[in-house]
Amino acid sequence: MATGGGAGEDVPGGGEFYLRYYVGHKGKFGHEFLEFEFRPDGKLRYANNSNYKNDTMIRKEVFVSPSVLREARRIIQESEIMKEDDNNWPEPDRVGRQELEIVMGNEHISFTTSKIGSLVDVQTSKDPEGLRIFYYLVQDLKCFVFSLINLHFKIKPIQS
Amino acid sequence: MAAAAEDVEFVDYDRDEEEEEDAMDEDDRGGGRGGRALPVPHIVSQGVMRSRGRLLGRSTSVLASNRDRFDSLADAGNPGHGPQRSIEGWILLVSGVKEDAEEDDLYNTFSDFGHVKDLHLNLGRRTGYAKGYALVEYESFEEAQTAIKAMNGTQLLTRTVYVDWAFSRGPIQKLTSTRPLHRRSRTPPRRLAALTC
Repeated sequence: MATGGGAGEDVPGGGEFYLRYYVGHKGKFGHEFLEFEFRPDGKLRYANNSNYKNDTMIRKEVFVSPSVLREARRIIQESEIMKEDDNNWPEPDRVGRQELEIVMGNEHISFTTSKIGSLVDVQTSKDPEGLRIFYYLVQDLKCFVFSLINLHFKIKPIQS
Repeated sequence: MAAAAEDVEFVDYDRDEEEEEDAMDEDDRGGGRGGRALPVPHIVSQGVMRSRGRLLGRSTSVLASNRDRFDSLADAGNPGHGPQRSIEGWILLVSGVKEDAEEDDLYNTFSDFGHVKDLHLNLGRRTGYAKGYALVEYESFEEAQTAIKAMNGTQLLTRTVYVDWAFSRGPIQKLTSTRPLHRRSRTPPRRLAALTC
């Protein structure tokens, strides 16, 4: 592969792969969240619940091609998130919670932390290097998924 | 509404620290047991050797639900194989895009095969340069297919790009993937079965 990345798990479409991301909070408008996942069979699921102005929950699903899964893997691999640990990241709090769960090759990470407002939150945390990787990876993944959902369904996902 | 039920399902984060330490110790000892905690239970992760994270075994996801209806454009009675049409056309994924590529480069190149209805060239949030992929929309199947045939594996700005359909009508068939099975001959059969179910 062009990335020149790691070992056997780099085989296109090979090995196990699962990705899930959640961000949300409970507040004045109930439980508001955004969540998406890629399953190993290519199913991409997306849910977005905002109760603001009585919005209803959006639930979408579509099968993506092996190429799309491969691209998601590449983005994750290049981020090196699989080497990180969430031990010293801020705990989820009233403001919100993020979850990132990935199975790739023979590794499984299941991280959680608070919402991150900006890089200032990253810098002042106990693990700025790890949290920065998470911070940028999450944005890159959201960007990828929003484009896929937006192009396929012609809806504009809400940045949460 | 399902909202009430979800609230109950969600993990209480006000638990004390000690409980979390216990959970992590277990995962360290268990070597692959973290796989069980996945919201999608059929991903049997017997191959998972390392599990890490404070959330292991504690996540619940609305996406795991088989009860809730997820909207899809798929022809319900006819999943099958092959590319899936999107609501307004056909979407291609271009991968291997050079980081200093610009929208114009992609637009000009892919306009050779038909009218490019929409184009996303997303930027890496850290670098501000192209992340390495683009999504291209054509109106017709023929335009999109021509673009794949002409562009897949060719050079774009000195980098080899790969062009493929973004969406499929059905699940990926693991056993018929391009991956040569003999290279992983030590894989126990039960694991293969788990991957394809």
